[in-house]
Amino acid sequence: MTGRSPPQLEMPVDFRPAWQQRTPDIDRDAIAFWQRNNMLPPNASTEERLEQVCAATYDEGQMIAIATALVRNVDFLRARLAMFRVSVDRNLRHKRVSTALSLYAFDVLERWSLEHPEAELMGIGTVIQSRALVEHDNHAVWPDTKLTFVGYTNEGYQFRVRWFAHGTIPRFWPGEPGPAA
Amino acid sequence: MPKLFHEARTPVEFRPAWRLRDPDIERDAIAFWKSENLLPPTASIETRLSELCVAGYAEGRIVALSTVLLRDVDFLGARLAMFRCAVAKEQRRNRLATVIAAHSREALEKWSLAHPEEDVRGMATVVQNADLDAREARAIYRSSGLAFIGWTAQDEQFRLAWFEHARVPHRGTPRI
Repeated sequence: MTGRSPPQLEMPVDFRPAWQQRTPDIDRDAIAFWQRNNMLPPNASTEERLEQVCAATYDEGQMIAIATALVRNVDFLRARLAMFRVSVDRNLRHKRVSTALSLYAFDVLERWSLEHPEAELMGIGTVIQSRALVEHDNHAVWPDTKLTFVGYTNEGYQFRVRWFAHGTIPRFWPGEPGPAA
Repeated sequence: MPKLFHEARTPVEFRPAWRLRDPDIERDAIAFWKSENLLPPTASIETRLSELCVAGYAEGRIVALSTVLLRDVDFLGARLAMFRCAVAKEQRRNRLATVIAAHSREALEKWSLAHPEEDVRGMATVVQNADLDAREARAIYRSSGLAFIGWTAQDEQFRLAWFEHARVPHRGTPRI
């Protein structure tokens, strides 16, 4: 699948899949994680956010990082991608938890895509809004995650893509209805 | 040798040509272009020869040939090697385009690493071949690493393989 081992972590953790599963434990822990890290703005729909959880990292029973994905048609590629975000507990950043969880979550999403060809999900997309991340590693292809720079958003943020190994370029055309969500 | 997911279906020897100005390859390239009717009357042979990248030989003559034009690609803010290739009519369907693309990427990446002053950050191509232009084409060509990154104004696939050492050019602060 991904063909690459997760980077060496500085702490023992375990990863749990959550994509399209909605387990009460992960739902509960996700809400606690978001509240603890002030990541639930008042107008946010908790239910929508929970639908987007695809994987989580746990350390001694506590969720310390969470990956979410929103599947959408990306017009300039005419492709359906999982728009990916990852959040890590404030006090655990810079420990490569984010990279390790990303690789795990990519695997979860790629396997799901293979098992659900009707969803026409072809890869991962992400908009890089962290200045620190861009300044820390500005490789055009990030060595660990293989997220590849493909252009800029209208606002000037980097847009990166990682196609699935089985990914093809779909027939989706801008303005036409895409495959059902 | 690049890591190939597909081998050519016929024995072909690939010889590097990029920036070497090898007289034998140049002579054979002109013969190839003429035999394949790939030299329009307005074409500058000298310019075309300066763009030679990799030549594929079978039985002493060129049967596949790649060329490269260095170009600044505005939407990426990067200088790229724009790749094209031609395959002899009787050798089509032998995966020579796939394999010569992989050899070209490898040759260009090594050259780029050795010549940082040229600031060439990847190999790109606009897919104009009807066979490769199928809408259900793979998003990544595995042997060359050419990944689909968008459409041209003419609805052709734009593909790009960043070199491993390539960085994203600095383009200022995002508008927030």
